Amino acid sequence: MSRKALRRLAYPKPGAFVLFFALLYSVLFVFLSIYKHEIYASSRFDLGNMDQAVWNSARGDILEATDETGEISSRLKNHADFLLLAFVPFYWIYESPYWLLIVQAITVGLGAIPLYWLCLRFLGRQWPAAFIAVAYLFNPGLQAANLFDFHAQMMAGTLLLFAFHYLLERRLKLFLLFAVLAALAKEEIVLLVAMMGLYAVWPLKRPKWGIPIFLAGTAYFLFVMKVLIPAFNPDGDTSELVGVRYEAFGGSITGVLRTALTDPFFMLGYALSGARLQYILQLLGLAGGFAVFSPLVLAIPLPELAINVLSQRPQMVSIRYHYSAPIIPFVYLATAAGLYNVLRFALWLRARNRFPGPRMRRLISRELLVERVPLLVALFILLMNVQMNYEIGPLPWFHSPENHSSVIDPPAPEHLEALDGAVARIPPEASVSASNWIGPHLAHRDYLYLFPLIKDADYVVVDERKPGYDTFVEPVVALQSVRNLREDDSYELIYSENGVLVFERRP
Amino acid sequence: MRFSLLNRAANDLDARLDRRLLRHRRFTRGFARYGWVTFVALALVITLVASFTKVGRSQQILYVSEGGDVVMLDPDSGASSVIYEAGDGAYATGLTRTGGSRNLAFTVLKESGGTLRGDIYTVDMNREARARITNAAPGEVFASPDFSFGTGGVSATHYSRTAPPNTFTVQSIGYGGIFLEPNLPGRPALLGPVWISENALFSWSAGESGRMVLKAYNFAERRQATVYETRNEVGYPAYHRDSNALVFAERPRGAPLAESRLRLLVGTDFLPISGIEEGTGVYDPSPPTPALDGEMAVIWTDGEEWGIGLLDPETREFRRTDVRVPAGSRNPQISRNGDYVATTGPDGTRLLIQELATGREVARVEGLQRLGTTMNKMKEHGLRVPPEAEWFTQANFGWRALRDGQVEP
Repeated sequence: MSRKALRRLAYPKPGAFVLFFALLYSVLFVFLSIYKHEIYASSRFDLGNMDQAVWNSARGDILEATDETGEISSRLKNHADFLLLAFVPFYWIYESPYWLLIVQAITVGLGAIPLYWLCLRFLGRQWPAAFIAVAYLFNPGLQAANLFDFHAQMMAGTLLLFAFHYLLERRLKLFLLFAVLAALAKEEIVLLVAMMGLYAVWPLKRPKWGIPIFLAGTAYFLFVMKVLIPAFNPDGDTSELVGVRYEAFGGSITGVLRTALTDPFFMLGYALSGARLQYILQLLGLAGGFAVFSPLVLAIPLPELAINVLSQRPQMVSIRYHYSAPIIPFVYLATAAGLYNVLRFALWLRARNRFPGPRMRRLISRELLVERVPLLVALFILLMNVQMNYEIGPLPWFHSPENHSSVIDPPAPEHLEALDGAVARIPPEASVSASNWIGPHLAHRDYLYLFPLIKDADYVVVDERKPGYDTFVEPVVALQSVRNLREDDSYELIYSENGVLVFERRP
Repeated sequence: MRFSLLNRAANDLDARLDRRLLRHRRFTRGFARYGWVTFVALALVITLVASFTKVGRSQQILYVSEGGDVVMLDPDSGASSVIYEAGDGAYATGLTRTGGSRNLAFTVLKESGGTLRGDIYTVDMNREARARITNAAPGEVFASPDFSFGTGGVSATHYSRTAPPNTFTVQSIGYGGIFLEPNLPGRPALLGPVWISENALFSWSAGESGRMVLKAYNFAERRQATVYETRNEVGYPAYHRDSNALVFAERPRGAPLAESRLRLLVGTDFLPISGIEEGTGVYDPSPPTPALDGEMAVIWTDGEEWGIGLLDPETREFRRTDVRVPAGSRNPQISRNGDYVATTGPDGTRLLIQELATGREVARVEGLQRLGTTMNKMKEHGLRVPPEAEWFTQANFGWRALRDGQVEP
């Protein structure tokens, strides 16, 4: 290695440092996501579901997939994740869920770059900005969510960061491009774009941009929730997910808004109760806690945070799921902005001789505040995230909770062979009922039921080692269903290897 | 004053350091450029050393003495202490094997006025707190408690004068007791329960026709599935959650242990186990050992030699270890760090602790509570104890690993 190259290695530039980790993250998570899928650790809900929706879209059945009840329905019944359609051309070339996993990992990894630009803008210090941007990539929640199948929502964080960067750069066209892409990731993401509109009004003082952005964002959200999604539901009802998740507020958007106006303290109490407060503290704490000193930046992901903490779905108040992916990058950005605000306040105190005594003033020098404190705090945040990643992260040999969907735990080679053998038995056009972990490998067909839902499936594929849905599956239901199949004259057991069974419907 | 002294000291140190560095300019230049590499390497070394350094935990074995005390013994140092002391007609029995290092449960039998009752007690080993989690009526015994994976639930076999044994589950904080089957006379006896998830268990059902039926029960949703039926004698099952494998020994009724065959059931499928030589008897699978990636200890015998084997429920491979045990040994259990294996003699009164790697004897404890003590007491007091119940009698010991400072020398 030449002396020059050695010196470059010894003195990396902050931007190169961030780029290196962004690429490292992307490569590592592309590999891990694909590997996890190949060892039958990805799940029917949601990778199989997304893959099937894109596969159907590539054949003209836009966003259609087999739902939980075994009916073919549009994803628009519950979600407006049009970004999935961007994968259709890829599927025309080669039909594989790899596209989803690859693009997701790369997009999440590249999020560190706009985050670095933004942190640099707010903090004004290169290395501290770089450390915070890289710390984001070590966030154990982000990594766990990335390894849990595919969700277009995972890509929203990066797209929103780009959008916010170009908004601050006053490059409207690029802002609009990324804002629209982000809004297409999921129905509520547009609310974060609307919040950027408010940010443009104040503090950016650009109402000519901000007000239309806010109004357009809000209007799109209302259109999706009140017109588009109801159009795909029977009797024009809203998504059933809203009813289930926000039951405490009447099970509707109107109910949530009404409660916010009529009983705000109940809503606040609910949002801070039980695991929800812990969730908020985890979100803020993993970024060092400085985010609270930048309420304006922290306000951008506020709608997503509210959607999560008001929900009854436990996964929505866990940092390990995609629901938090659009929030996490803004918490790190708010950390940089918050750190800057704290330092500015300290400098203000110093300039006005508000420190207790001249010694203290000498001790807390301007250089200390401007140069060393941001560097040390950012380095601390980075090291803390590395440590937390080891403690609770999903990477192999790290210590994520064993039952989380992101954990990579390969089965024995002979079991893997048995699974491959079972999947190879299923003809391409046949309808199938499959265990959750086998489902993603059989998604390219019209009907894919989640075992133990069998309906009129031509084939049933069950892994008795992991028979049910997720880790909460009821093992007794799985046992009952397999026994029933064994005794059912209309099905014949055609494959039994290592606890992997394939039943074929008799003609 | 202190401030200025500190300042001066720091300045002096600075000056001395500068002088020294100036004397070694080349080193200083190199250090300034590549010093961070040194620090990163140093951090890596520290991290690696810390990762491989054993946390300060030693292994303890807990057992029930002949008198009904629960005793904790450190086999390395030989130090022992009493966790529960028998007295006033009350004594411990049926120590759980599960519950991690923190949780312990056992039955406390109380004889008074010609009646017998058996409550379940739990001990939090970290807080050294003891609590009663079930309160049996006179003439009732909750025997052989067992913790669920998350230790949120405890199962036990309920004996009474009126109904056959039943499997009972209760939250480990003492709420929500549920019987798997209605507690009525005339139904089959439920024996040998083992947890599958937080709300489901396998349990053997002993019918009057002489058949043993293995059923899976979801007690929260009142659902059950029959999995297997046999006329043979079966042993206590062990369940490995990651591979959904249930392992138990089976032999013709009244046959010697050497005729025991190990069965591995995944869902509804019996899968073959490799590595067991023809004619070898294998029995008494232990709960999965976390330190050995879920492997279960079993006892194997060819009729002449007896030893410890390990079964990997994931790969379904059996292998013999170098540990040999006395003829008729029962109930192997591996310590939490995977270093030791303990077995009892046929009657359960002798405990032998050996190194798993070499078979070297580490400790031998005499005077454990005899197997079947509880059964005999229950029979004496007129409780309904079917003959099959004796197949599921568990040894009265279990391993724990407590922090070094937590155990008195």
